[in-house]
Amino acid sequence: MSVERNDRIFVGIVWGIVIIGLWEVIAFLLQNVFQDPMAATKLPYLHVIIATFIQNAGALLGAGLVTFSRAAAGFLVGGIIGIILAVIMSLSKTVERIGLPYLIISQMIPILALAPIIFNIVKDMDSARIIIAAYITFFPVAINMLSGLKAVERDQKDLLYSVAASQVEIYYKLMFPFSMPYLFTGLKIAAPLAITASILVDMLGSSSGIGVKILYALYSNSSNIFWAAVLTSALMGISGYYLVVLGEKVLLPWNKTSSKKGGDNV
Amino acid sequence: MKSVKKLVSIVLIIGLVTMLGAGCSSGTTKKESSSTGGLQKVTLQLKWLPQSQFMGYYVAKEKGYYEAEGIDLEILPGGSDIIPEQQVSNGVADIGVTWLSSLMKYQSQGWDLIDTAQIFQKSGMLLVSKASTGIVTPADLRGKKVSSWFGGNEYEIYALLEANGLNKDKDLTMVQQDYTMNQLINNDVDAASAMTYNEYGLLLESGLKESDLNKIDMNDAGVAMMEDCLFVSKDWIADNEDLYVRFLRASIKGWADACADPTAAGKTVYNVDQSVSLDHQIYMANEVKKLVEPAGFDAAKIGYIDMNAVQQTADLSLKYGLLTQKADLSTATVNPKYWEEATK
Amino acid sequence: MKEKMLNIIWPLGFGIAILLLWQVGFLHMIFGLKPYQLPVPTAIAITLSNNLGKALTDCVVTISGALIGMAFGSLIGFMIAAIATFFPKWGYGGMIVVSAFNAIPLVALSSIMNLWFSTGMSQKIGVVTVVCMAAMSMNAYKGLNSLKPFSVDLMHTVAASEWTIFTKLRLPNCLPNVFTALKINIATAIMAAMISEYFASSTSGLGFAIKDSLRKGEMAMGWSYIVVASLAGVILYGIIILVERNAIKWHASQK
Repeated sequence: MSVERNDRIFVGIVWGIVIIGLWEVIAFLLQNVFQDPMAATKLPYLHVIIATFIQNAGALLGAGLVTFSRAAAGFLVGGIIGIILAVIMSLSKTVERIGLPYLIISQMIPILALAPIIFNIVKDMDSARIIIAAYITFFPVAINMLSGLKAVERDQKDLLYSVAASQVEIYYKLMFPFSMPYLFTGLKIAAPLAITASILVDMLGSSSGIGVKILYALYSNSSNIFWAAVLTSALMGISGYYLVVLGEKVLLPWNKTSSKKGGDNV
Repeated sequence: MKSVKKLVSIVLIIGLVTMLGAGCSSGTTKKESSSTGGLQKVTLQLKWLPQSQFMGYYVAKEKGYYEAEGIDLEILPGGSDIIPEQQVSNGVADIGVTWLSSLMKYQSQGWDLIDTAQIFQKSGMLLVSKASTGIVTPADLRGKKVSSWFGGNEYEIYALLEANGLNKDKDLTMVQQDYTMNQLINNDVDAASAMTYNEYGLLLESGLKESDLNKIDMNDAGVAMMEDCLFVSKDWIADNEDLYVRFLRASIKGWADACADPTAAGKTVYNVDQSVSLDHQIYMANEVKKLVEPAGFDAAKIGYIDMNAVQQTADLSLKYGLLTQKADLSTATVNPKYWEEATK
Repeated sequence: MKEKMLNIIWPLGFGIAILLLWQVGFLHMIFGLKPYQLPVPTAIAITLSNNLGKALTDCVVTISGALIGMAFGSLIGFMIAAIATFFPKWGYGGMIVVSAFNAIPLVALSSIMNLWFSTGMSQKIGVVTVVCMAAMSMNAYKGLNSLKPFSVDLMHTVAASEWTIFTKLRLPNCLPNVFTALKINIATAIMAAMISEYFASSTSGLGFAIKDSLRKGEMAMGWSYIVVASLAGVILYGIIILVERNAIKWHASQK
């Protein structure tokens, strides 16, 4: 067990070194070989970004925390809505027929068009922000969960029906456990998405959050701060992703896809 | 049949939830100016991020001018997806800051909004180019690539072009400009829009010298459209006339102080949100002062609505396609009476 | 045949019902909206028909960028998943990197791509490529690895090579997941393409048109473009579902 753990840490470190190395090389090429006058904006050296990050760590992490907590709220609400929608659609073929096209349509409506309407309905900026973050998040959860629920083999369902299991029991005993891996795949996609949604929401007239930092940095031409803020949001995305992976391991210890790696390949 | 029954019940549930939601929202719709500790709550929606462009309100708030008038002012920053006209119309904010030309566009489409004070007396819009491209007069723009933010901000440039005999579609290329000035610095465009108080300063801060840059000023070219003004919705002002006059009085005082000492005002704004940099906020405060209080303008008249300038904005907007019909300039759309009351 | 009809009739009926409620002002009533804030369907339809030519041109610009980007992104995502399957010890890190890309906000990504590419189209393709990688790599990885119990062992007993296991067992097994990813990606791709156009240095595309009209308060115009985007999204989604039905007839979700 501990060997595998050490192994994984080793792999992580190698990955980190490779990425940092690659980044620095590209930045070097851009600045010195291609002599790009905008190189420092296009792709600054990673160590410069990290230095900026450390210098502004307090402000960036503080802003990150605001965004992260909003993202968590949006993720929670969006995740629950996604699951409910998927269950309703799996219950009734008719609802699925009606619902699916409109789910797609819902993703086509830009926030710019939606925000005024949502503000008009709830009037309160804070709840409007969570609604918008949830609105962006629920889609991958609903789609993945639905494909999970639908992927349950007919035979297994019939078997449970034959022992006179009720609809609730079938869902509880068969459908939910079966679709959990699918749900978690959806959640893994949705977690970083919740972060970006929350960053977008920061820009809806908020005065705090990493999105505001990005916006300020963008138009004040402070490219180092901009990249440091982007780095922060990417880190938040990774931690969101890992939180879901962690949740999956705790809740679904039987699920092998993400925990066991290459048992058949060594 | 079973599935139909199921469907009906699901539709019913969704319906109920929607009703509940609507019920909750209508419960909070009544956004009367509630009192908190004797102060009346008022929200002001800015057009953009907190910066010295709006220094008057921040200075007035910091110095307690609003409190002295019995107002608890909340300033809502703008953002990329925030449109002040819609926020005020929604009731999320009571008062909004926007460009007059943009407000006119909304009014012409039936939005019940009233222009009440003109904070910027001049246009801050420039068309900036690198000196190396040789663009000195508007006529030099022929065949060039020019960028604008669009979304209503392009009409001064259209006016500039047409007034100089250039067709905006045929004689040059117009492209969209993002929040940065990188397209100009990177030579992706030949000329870019810039506000005197913001983007032009950013160009200087990025290391370009004034001698490296040519600028075409909309005021000099005779195509200036009015920018930052204060507006309210018809419904709100009907119930809150006195409150609004008090808001204006405090704001004008704040603007006067800010223009008297732009350095201090820049600091005040910077302390709100650490936006960009202190130097940039002070630079902006100095430039904004020139628009709020142009040379020879009586400081006591800050916020004065010059109907000639309003008329010019309306005429240019109509002529160059922002408006499709002649603007109605009655007291239903432009009403200086609150400002007159506040400056009495 | 009856099934297919129902697939169209139900959503269409629902849509018409909503449109009617919208038209007669019921939606405006419950949400407290004014017609100038949310135009009624007929106003949107009239605006659209007057402006159909330009709307379709913009649609082609956005959709072609979205599809090209989606193709690139999905391909890269799938390759990462495949590498992670062959080299689980080393490859899994790539999945994490990809999911980090997913957390770069579109506003920032669009601006970065604006710097890297000077035309609107290449910027759009760049943005869409990046946002489409994660959903594909995660779904494909799941499909390539959640095999039926003992199936790999069985393949090993007949001395099948890793490559044979990949093509004969893993690849068919992951098809349903690939389609799930494509369904998510088509929506993401169009949305990302539109948002990238908010900032692109061009004046074409649905995203630019929506932003430009909504900012000016031309709500009917803005919504007419949203209608075009939605229709394009639904049609493309429908195409993916049709392909899915024919490609994976054997899978439980299709029965």
